[in-house]
Amino acid sequence: MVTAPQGWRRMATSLAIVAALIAGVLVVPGSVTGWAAGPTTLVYGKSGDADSLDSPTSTNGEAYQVTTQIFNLLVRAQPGKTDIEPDLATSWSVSPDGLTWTFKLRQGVTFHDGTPWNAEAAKANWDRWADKNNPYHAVKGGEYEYFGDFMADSFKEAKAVDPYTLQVILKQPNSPLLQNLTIIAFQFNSPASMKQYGAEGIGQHPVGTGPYKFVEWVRDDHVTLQANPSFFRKGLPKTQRLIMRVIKDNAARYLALKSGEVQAIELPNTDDVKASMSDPNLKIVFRPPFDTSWLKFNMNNSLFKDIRLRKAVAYAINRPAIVQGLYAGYGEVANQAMPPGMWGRASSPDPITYDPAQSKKLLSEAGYPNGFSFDFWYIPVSRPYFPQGKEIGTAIASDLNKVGIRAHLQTEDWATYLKDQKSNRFPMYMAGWIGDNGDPDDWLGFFFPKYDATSARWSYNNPAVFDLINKAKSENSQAKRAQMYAQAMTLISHDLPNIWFAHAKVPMIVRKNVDGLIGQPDSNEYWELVSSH
Amino acid sequence: MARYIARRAIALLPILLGVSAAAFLMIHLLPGDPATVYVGDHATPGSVERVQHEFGLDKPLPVQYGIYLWNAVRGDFGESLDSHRKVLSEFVPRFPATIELTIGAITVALCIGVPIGIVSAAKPNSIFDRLGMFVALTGVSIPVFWLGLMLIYIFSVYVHALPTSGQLDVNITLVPITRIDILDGLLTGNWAAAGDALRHLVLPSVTVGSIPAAIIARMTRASMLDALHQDYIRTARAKGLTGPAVIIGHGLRNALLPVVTVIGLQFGGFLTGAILTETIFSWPGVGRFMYDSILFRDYPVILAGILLFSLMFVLVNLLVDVLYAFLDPRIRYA
Repeated sequence: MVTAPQGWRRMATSLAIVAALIAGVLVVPGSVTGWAAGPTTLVYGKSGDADSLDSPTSTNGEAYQVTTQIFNLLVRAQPGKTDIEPDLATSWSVSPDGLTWTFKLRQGVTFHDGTPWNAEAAKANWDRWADKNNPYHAVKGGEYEYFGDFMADSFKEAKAVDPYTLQVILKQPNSPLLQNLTIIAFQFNSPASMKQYGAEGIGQHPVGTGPYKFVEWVRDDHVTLQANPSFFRKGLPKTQRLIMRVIKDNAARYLALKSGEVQAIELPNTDDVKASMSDPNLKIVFRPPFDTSWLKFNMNNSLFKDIRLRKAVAYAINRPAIVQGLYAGYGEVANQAMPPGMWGRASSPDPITYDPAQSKKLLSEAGYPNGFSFDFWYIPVSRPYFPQGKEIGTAIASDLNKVGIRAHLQTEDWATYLKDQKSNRFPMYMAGWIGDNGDPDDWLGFFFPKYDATSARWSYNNPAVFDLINKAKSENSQAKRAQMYAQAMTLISHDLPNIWFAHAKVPMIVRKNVDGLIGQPDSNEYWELVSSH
Repeated sequence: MARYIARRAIALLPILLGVSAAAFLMIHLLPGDPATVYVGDHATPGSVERVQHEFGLDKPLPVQYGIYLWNAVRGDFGESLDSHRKVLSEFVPRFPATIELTIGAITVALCIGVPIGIVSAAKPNSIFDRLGMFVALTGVSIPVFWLGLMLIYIFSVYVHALPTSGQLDVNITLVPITRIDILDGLLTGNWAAAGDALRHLVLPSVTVGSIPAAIIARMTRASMLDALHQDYIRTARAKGLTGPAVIIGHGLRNALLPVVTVIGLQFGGFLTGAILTETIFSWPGVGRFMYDSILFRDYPVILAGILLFSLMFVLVNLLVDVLYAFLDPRIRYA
């Protein structure tokens, strides 16, 4: 029989053992922050995982952040800018008819598997992207979407003229070609690795010429990269090992940064950006604005065919106040489609200021002295250009209400929202764009190529604008192109099919001991430049 | 008993069929076209149509369901719209991580819930009772994501005692056998890995286990109070037994039955808790995978996930029924 004192003693002993075990786990010295990096390892907290590391077949930004470290392009964006600098090509030229682009390739470069980089290797990649019958072309679910969007119409063939000269022959001029080649989807893979792993295996076994070699990818967890000692930019990368960890929850990612487990994070919550301003261990690095938000009028809608009503709406909205209040200090009011820093911007687009009196006057002139009502669709997700869709939508509706315009706020799930922009369902809606490359065609060519009576997105009809934008695409001189885009933008701003809303810088938070991180407009930072002390 | 289990197992089929039909219908009634999500901002009508055709989304709903069922019974749950890999091969490597977390959470729930319940019942209306029930009420009321973040804030950011997220330190190499990292560490004699995996497990387990712990505490208390007023307890005390011998030996054994039922019913709570907790703690399990798939509208994965969760829920409750017989020899199954 167990007596009471014995029983309590046994229970107390058991509890003490359990407590000791737990305490042991909690206080094992030095064992906790194993993720934490020293000067030889950097850990970057990403917001999502890659879908594949085969960049030509992916459009996933999370994949590009990784492949930027493993691969190279012919030409790339300069650090912190969209301007071009040499990468695997050292120089280039285009024939007067715009149909032959000649690239002189960098010599003495090898892929991570030892395969030499030369014109044949480059051609092998172009062939893979363009030729549906190429043995390495077909990848399940792989789209070659950027090749399709930016190159397929004009591309004829790639030629290896000599070991270090590549020619890209076009069927028709494609002036944005050079800028398009800075898109991460045009990175070069080792031809030997294509043979070794096959089309489907490339995405799991990336072999490039970049600053880091691929070590491992644990899905939804991390990618480990090791410095490439033969990298052609001498002295780089500055850190031996780069780990890109996936921590999807914004708050958890920030806490991992605060605890020192990661050295840098992207896409923090706005409150955390504010908090980190006063944290002695943290600093903020911005990706330059490479996005634009706007309010789109459906000009197929009878109300918004009248420019006076479009203007009445525009004058009623206090954009500076909304941007100041709801962009956490990193937004600026937009006055045209492209963000500052892009070439081809209009020098003096029609100004739209906050002027409720002018708005009321225009309403009266248009025969709506007491205003009117319509459904206003706000974006259901958070985007850099509209960080708080609902709050911004509410603020806009509130401003409109002050002049008598009753905007009924509506939204729906993101997938349907994207789809419905192409129908006439929305009288007015919030939209935006993040740049793919640094070319104006990426901004204007997509949204102003044509008129479509069945689509709110393409409901603006001005053949002069379409003509300028489509001609600019085949003009060789960048100066002339810039002029054409600026002229088109001036016409657009005069007609007011959109109310340009804001451009937003995108914050990253890094620990104070991290040096050299430069935010890229397209979010694909060059980690080869980054070190920690 | 074997016949009983066999009968219950057969009864699972209509349940799973019903669940799959309901899930299939609900997912397809939602607005939004997965093909549009799949193709993204650069979508053209042609590319959307092609994707719809590729995934059979252009067929009538009953036909889609029929094809789905036919493939599912052969173990083919389709392909993920996101990764383009077989759904089953996406679930298999993630499943052990969720099992590890669930075991951790059940352990936490039992270790916290049962003692609080016992102490509260042994001294009803005492300060221990009131404190215990206050803790239980708090546990059941705290949102999982908030608790998770608070735990990270306290134990990782300030105390620096435990890692913020992940299942295992990336610097540790572990040979995968079961893919339950603690177990693999022990099996391969890699004590550092086992210890590290345990440290990674603590905070997510506490987070998932908090609500079930609170419910178990309240259920244990109620059940114990009932048991402690039974005649056999009075008899035990009359025979001279005191303290834990009565409470644990006679009271708890008889009070456990409803508690076991609650654990079975709470299993659904463990699974849904895992969806949020795995997201916060970057735990590479099925829960986080489901969460991402729901955001991505990855229909094949969502459907397979619902079926998997339902199957697990039903199986655990079957297990609970079987456990009854062991806990209470008077229960027999016809």
